[in-house]
Amino acid sequence: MGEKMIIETRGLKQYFRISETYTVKAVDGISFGIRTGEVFGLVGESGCGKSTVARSLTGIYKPTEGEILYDGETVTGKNARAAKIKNMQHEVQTIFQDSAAALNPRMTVEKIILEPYRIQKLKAGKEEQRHRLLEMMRNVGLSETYLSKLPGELSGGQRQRVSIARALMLNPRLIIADEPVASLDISIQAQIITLFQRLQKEGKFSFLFIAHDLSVVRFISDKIAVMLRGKIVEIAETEELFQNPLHPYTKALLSAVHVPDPVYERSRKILYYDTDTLSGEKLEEVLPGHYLLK
Amino acid sequence: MAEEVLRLENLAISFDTGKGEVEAVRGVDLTVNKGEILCVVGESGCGKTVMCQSVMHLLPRYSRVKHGRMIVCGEDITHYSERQMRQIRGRCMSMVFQDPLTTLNPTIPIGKQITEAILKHEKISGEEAKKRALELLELVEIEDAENRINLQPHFFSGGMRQRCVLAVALASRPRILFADEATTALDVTVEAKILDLLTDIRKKTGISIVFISHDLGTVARIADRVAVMYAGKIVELGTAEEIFYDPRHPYTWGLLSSLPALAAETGELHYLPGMPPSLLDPPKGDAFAERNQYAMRIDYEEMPPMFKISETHYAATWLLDPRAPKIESPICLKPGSGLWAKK
Repeated sequence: MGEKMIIETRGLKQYFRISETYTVKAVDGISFGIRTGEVFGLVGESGCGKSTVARSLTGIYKPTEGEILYDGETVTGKNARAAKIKNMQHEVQTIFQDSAAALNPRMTVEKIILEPYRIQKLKAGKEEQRHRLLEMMRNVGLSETYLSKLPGELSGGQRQRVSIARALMLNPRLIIADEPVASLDISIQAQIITLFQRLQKEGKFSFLFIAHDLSVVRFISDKIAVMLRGKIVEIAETEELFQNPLHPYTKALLSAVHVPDPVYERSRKILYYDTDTLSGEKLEEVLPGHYLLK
Repeated sequence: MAEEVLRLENLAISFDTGKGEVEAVRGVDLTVNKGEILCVVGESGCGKTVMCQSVMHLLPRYSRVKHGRMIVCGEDITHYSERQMRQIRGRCMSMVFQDPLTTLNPTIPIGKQITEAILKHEKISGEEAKKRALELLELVEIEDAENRINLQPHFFSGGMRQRCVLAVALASRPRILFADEATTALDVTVEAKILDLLTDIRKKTGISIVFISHDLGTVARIADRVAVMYAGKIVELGTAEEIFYDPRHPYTWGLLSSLPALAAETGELHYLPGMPPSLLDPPKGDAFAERNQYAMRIDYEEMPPMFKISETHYAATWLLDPRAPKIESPICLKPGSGLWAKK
């Protein structure tokens, strides 16, 4: 893991104006950075704004306020260089939860995985493309027979593998995965997580892993940020967060993680946190590397 | 002897499709006792939903009961007509589905949706029905029920909607409740609350609950007994303690070891390779053989019978045959530790 930040947000705000009087503050001033080669987990319950963060980072939304830095250079606002943005679009890839919606149902697997070449207008010979295609298929554990299939003919796990192959096609430096395993069966989920882990070790890319399931995030991430109502309430190294959670909301989330142990489960007390009582403006470093909203 | 409310005898359900016969459920024997929470666990496509929907007679026309019987509250309902089923549904059993938004009618206030269910089954006045509806909303722990009874579903959060669906399902005082992935779409904290609510309702009303899930971690909190399903068959059945602390079937081992909660403790995430077999043309032997690292030759040739381990614990794997090599379960959990330890 390097010391340099690959992507950083500073006071990022993403508001959606629904009507004259009603504005949804989906992301409300968050600042964090992902180091090169780091797996960064972002957790929170539905509606906390974690998907909006993913979309802002990939440039789908234009931030209301604040800035996003890629490789230490701003890619939002007036001062952003077009070349840098282009560069970022090439090097940052996304994987979404719903693989059925993320893949064009009328394109074959082969076309889908080769599409990044076409979109980025990369000049690559037929031979080279084919070679890379087969390499990616092997990498994600799909046999060649799937190349001519349509997404509708694949299972959820296989479709997610196609999404991963497509995201890896251009050797990305950062992969943003928004709930990539949430809609999969437990056994298939385990297959995909191990795949992510292997690919991340081999490809050395940075990884923003967004999920609501804490045990999944714990297994894969180096560092975790907990989000609530558009704000990050706590950031810490994974084990530090699990051993020593400081924010009451983090404690409540951790208390709700399932353990496959009936005797323990029946006696487990679940803590509740009234999300309306959330207060605090800024993240402060309370312990080395452990930040808390105060 | 506990009172039986549901009994399935060698039940098999098939779908006649354009490609041929899909054997979704292939001979299931199961009983549900009064006041018990039975959890059915398995991957998607293993037949757990089809099994429950067949008992409710909710399957499409191209499905059929190939053989076997289903007995609900002492009545054999296998070949009941739609008219007869209408007497059974609601009164004897009801069902809660995964997505509360598609279950509720978005245009009708939830109070009316509950009274509708009550009035269908009982001859009481509208006033009384409304009172019952309020009681039900309080039973499912909706705060400030009096003011909320006239609101449409979109005013409610996902967890509260699921509570409303539960209230509708409980309106006619059923004896069995099928909950089909009822908490899968909810956030973890909300999920935990709904699970606690289910145990609470069971305590208050003595209802039996059949809880379907793909996640063994979820069911640990509520299950009295667990049935593990694979490729249309029950492969292991036992009390929660037996399934979690003394699993015998390699598929149960696989399901348990692919839980990330365990992996975070051991640092290793195991997974079952491959996919479940197609039920269009199910394999001759043990359907799990292809993915089973302990598979023996007989697994490919003959289906294993249910071996009895204790009065309550059964598993269908040739590993339990006296002639098979002794294989220790790769996972071992000490009760109550909350932690997993590898042997």
